[in-house]
Amino acid sequence: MGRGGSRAAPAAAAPPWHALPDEVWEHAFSFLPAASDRGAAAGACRSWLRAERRSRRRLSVANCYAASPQDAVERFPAVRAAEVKGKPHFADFGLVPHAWGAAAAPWVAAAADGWPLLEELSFKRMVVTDECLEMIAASFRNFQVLRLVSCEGFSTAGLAAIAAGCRNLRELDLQENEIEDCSIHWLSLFPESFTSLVTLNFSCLEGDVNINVLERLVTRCRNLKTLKLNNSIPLDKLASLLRKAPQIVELGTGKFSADYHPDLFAKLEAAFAGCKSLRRLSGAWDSVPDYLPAFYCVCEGLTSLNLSYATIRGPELIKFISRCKNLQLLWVMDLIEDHGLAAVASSCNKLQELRVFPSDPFDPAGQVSLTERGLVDVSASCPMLESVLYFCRRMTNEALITIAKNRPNFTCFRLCIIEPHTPDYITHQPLDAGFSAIVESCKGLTRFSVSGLLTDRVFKSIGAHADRLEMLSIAFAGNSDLGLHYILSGCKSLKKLEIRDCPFGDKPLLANAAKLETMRSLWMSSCSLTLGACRQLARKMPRLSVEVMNDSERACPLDSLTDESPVDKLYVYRTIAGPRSDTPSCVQIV
Amino acid sequence: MRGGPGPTAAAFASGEPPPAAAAVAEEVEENSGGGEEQEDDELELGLCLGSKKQQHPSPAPCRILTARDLHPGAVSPDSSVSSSSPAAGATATAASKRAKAEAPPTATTSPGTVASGHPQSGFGVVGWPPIRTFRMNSLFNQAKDNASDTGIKKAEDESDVQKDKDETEKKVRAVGWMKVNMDGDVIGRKVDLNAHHSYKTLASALELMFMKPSIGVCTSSSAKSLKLLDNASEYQLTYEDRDGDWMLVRDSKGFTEQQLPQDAEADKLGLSHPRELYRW
Repeated sequence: MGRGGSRAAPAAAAPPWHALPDEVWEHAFSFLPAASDRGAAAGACRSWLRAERRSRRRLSVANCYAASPQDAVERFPAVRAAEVKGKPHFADFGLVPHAWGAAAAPWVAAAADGWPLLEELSFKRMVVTDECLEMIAASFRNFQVLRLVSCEGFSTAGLAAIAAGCRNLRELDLQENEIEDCSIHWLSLFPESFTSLVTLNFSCLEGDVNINVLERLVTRCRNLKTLKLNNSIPLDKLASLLRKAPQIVELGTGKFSADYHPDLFAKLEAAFAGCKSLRRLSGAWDSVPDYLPAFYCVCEGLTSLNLSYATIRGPELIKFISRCKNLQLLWVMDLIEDHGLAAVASSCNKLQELRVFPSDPFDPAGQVSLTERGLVDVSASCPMLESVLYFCRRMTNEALITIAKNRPNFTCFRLCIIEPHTPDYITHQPLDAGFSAIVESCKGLTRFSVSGLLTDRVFKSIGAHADRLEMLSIAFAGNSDLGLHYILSGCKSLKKLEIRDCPFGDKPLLANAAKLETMRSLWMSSCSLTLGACRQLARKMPRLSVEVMNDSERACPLDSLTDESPVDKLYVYRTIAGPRSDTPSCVQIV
Repeated sequence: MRGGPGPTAAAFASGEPPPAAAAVAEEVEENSGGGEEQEDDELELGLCLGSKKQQHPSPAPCRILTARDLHPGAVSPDSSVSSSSPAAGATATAASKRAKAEAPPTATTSPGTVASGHPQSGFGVVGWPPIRTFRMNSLFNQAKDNASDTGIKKAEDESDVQKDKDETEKKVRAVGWMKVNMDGDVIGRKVDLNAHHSYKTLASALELMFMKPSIGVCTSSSAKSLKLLDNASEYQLTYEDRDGDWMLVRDSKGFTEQQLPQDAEADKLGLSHPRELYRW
């Protein structure tokens, strides 16, 4: 690398690789897509650590309390896209006390300070306030993507701030949030000059939106690919919206019920015929199977169909789904019944993910005929099926063994037999053999939920065989401490363990304390834990945060309780941030 | 899981017929058959996990019984109550705001504990089956809409065992969640009316939810009860009917009408059963 004067000098030896400037490594690392790979690289040596962290663009914080926002911002100063998750998964089912925490505000504040170039922000199971949204709108000049999943704490006023302030917004994706309706016409606040929207999902919003405003917005955003409407949009308006956005790839129809009118049918049919790029369809289709044929023209192109909020049933439903030969993802209600799933099995051979939800979770008689049969059929005929969530009322070991043999390629298997402790309905045996067959056969299983009558034996199998398992959900299962011990002493890749209503006590927890530091989190509720064990655990493992929650209405100072006091809810997670300071009175850090 | 906790069940007069507003009876409809179990005095806690009996079409109730039951005299109260995660303060305000704005009935989809009631059980199991609150609320709203479409008939006036055999009402089965607020408590709860066969069990369920049970509550002796159905107690159980009037939940003899401040949502359905239960 000599400069002028030397003629044809031999090329100087390149610097040894470990002395290459950081920029070279940063460039190299940009080819590593997976965060885990980048993390591994960062662990190799100091210069790689430095280069990697300074060039990291995407950051995913799976537990908002695992590190402080300031730490995250300082360590990764170049982040452009951040995802932060808050409450434990069981919060989805109401098991986590109100006001537990997971405020997004500290993250937004730290990001506003340290990541002015931030473009994407995603929060899941967190409390996001209107102030947060206002700050987002005000702090990031090039903000493009806002994704809120299962969040709460904000209103349409916050959405208004986003609409008004984010000039370059591409995606506004609101999934299953609790949004207060302040009757603010937030949609109108997108300026007339605003045309950058690619994704607009407000399906979880309860209030009305101004349809004319929506139409104008849809018309001028020529790049709009995803549009998911809420229940306030009537069918005829859907037709006219579709005509304005025929380029749509993903559509959520919102409420679909209307009395049958041939004119409206014709309108819809024509509108859908124009949507040549439509691949993903969802909505709350409440009724009137007579309209389904209006969709026939898009069926063949569909790769994803979410009818899990639709109460459609019967032959029309089956006819419809059978036309969707290229389906990769199907979410339905159990109204599809076994014979409907048999039709799916024969028509939708490319199916990769199936979810079947209960239409009437509290009906003991099970008026809907959805049994193990349906799952067996689908597993037999869909060779690419790898992800299942299935609610049913009965199961047999034999069926599970058959399923395991048919589909060793499951990565996610979640079976929920609605009545706790339900045994094999033919042999009346526990379902240990069946679930064991799944883990033994499916070597790539990363997510597993078990149910029905289960003894410690199934946990022995899981501990021994589920090497790639990352998330395990257990409820009303097991008969002794051994069950938990098998899990914690096995399951090499376990990251998240959530347990409720199982007879697991202190011993396996303490015996496997070190394991907990290799995991992201552990949730145990309604088990046999005592406060003493939690105290011991906290003492032994300073890098774990041990949170204990009892009666949410009553703040009981922990110090006054004895070691023998039972613990209703335990949440343990590893953290480098030390104990958090925002616990409500019902949550105490031991 | 038996119908109601012992102490409070005993506190209520037995055999109360539903009030003249037989509408209320519709909410406490019961599903097909099954023995009436709420007459038991004791909360049956002795369940041995793992030795569950064989399932039948009318299975034994879902349990809120937990391993804690193996520790009698436990400090913490019933899990199904304690783990209630009702609407956040923000959304509680939201609910009332919505109410003021005459929001559509769907506004009850505040995140609340869905006291997921197995119809045979008194209280059901919180958070089971594991269905997201959002989805549960959607089911709730759908069933409600279906119900209003099909026009639910009033249930017959019967004794405290309100068997409702109307087929269409079965569709409302999943709808039985009602929002309940206690005066002075911003946190609302939800209760599954389908899980209760009589006012006794309903009232006891509400008491457990809102009261702070004393230590060792899960026995027949202790718990001081609010005696919700008793005129003399501090709190009264009321509901808002479709006219927006607040009615006391009473048997037909003691039925009285009360006008109360309306921070409840109006009943939009036109069904004759009340939309909400409130206490004042």
